[in-house]
Amino acid sequence: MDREPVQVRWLDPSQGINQEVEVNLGTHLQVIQELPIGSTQKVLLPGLVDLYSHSGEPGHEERETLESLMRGARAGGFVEVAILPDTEPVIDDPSLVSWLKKQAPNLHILASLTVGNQGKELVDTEELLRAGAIGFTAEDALKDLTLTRRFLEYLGPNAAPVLLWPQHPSLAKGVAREGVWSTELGLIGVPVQAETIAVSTILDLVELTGTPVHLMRLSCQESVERIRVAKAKGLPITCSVAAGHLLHTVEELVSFDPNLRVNPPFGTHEDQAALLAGLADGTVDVISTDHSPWTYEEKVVPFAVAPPGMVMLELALPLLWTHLVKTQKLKALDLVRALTTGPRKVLGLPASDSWVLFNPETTWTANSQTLHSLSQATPWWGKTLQGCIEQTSF
Amino acid sequence: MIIVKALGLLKTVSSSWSRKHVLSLKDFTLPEYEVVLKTATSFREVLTRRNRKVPTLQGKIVVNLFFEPSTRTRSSFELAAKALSADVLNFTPSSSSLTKGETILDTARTYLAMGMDLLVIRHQESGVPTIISQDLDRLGSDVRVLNAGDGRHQHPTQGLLDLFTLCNALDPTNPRPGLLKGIKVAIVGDILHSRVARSNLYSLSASGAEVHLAAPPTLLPLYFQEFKEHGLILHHRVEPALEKARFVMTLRLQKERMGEFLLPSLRAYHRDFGLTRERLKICDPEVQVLHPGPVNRGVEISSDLMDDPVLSLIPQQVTHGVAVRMALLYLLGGGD
Repeated sequence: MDREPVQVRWLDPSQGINQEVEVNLGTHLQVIQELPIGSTQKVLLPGLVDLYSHSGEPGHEERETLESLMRGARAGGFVEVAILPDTEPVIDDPSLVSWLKKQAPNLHILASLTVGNQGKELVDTEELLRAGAIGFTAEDALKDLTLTRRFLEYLGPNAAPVLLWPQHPSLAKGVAREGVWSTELGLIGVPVQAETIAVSTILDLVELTGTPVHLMRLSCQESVERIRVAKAKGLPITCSVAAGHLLHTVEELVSFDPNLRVNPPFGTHEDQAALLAGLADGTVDVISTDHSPWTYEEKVVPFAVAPPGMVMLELALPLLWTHLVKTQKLKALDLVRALTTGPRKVLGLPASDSWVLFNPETTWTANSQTLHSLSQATPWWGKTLQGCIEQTSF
Repeated sequence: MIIVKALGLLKTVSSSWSRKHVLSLKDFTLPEYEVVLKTATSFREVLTRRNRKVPTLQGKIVVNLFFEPSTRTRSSFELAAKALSADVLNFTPSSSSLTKGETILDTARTYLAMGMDLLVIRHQESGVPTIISQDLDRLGSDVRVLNAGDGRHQHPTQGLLDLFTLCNALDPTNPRPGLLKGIKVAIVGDILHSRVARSNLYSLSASGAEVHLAAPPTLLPLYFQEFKEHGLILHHRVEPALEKARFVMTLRLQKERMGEFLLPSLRAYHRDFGLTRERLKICDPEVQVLHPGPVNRGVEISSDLMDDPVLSLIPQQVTHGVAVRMALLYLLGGGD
């Protein structure tokens, strides 16, 4: 490990640190001296935590293995990653959870709410937690509200985090945010109400059951507003936005690049501004990568047929820093909070003394030489990016 | 001799053409519409001669890549390419080759390797010609891509042949877009799902026509209001759109729409929006009707109206389709 002292802008939201220092990097950071503002280029921040990523393994190792996922995560500055249960088989079984935990110590497992993700029988939450699952999640929480209600009641308020995706399935049968762009491009639209109806429903279920819920993948202004009001009322909720929604908007679909097909679909500039304002005032707690690896054959299809999602673990910090912090749309400390203390709080993880040394000025090209992910599913493939993770403590 | 003269005129016309692909009419300029119509007028003459062939695209390969089956549009492109003396390949990929791990780009790359010059693409999903053209450009190719209809997005050659048909009805000696200035054109039917309507909106408004759209609210969302800044007027009843209209364009209504809760029944649709002689009485006395085909007789248009030789421009649309497609193939591929 590099023992040479480095001059950095040190950001640590857990301690409210945002200062420029000369520091010795090691297992423990040793600050040598404070430096004047604007004298440094590199940034030192805590190891990032991803609240939800998709793993190919088990079942689709051609998309991503746990090994490639964790290598990519590390290269992207993520010290810990939680994966979603939509693998094959679905993560609903204690033996699968303990096997996964053995594969990578920094991997957290979000188990399915129901057996086989079928929405019929509840999983044995107690056994899954004992096997090492960190929490539970469902992408179709609105399909059967009694089921979701009973799950929340059964689990109770202090057992484990529950992540629900607010999307009304029958209103969301489209591929682009409904509006002028979807109309012009001839893509089936999804109205914002597919999300806001679901947000309100989930908020009501939290009120009914008293069990805290994290709302995933917010994509519109109205959702942020409803959650802001609910938080002010004291409802035990947190929420997150997927990184892609802070980087892309619906009008980019004019390229019909299937890598821009995500779910929920990208919103407008107003939505993006509202999500950023939510991050700044604490309404939005977390930025998740929602890393979604697909093979080239799966993703290089007509836009409307493409499976949703893009790879993001290795791109998140450079892209978010370049497009949000440098453009002054988001303060550096707010960005780092949403990638570190935010997800730690949701998952109930202790603080860590890991660190990442990031150089926002270095440029590099996203391709198979630079990226560790097995998937090329990103609109940034082949493009030049700014910002590079130079070193990590993990 | 006349052919030679016509081609001489074309040479000057095509030198003002710089577009590489025709994927959408969104960014078409008025001068481009003028060039297409002027060129199509010359080819219309060519098509009336005993020898319908000109040597313009001799030695060039035109590939018709029709992922979505279509007889009329493909035949029209094939005739157009053959009248220009091009070698034509028709490819309708079987669904199996595309499920066996071949991506949508692979077929186009195969023909690129065989030396094609012009690629005509139709696909049931929006955007496919766009991404294939991007891929070919990335590979450094000079292949020109022509969108022959993609999903609900665009059908530029239909938009251009409709424009030609309208202008030709107003002045057959010199059909030009300026003729449509201030002329009321009504588009009636399933606009939401129509790539034809989306192309026509651009060409008609660029020509200065007064464009009225009419459909039930489910088939004409208000987003169309913002679709194009200038002059689209939306109606959820058919009468205000038809009133004093010089031209009425009606669109095919797909029967699947009932299953999507967009309409109660075909009968209700015909009652409220179907074109009949009776309904056309409030139009301009010289009104004429267009339809991109294939027609659902008795649904969007009554059978007798469709076959009326005075009122219906449908046969002319088909005839002009060949001349307009010749014009586009010529402008894209014959300029050198």
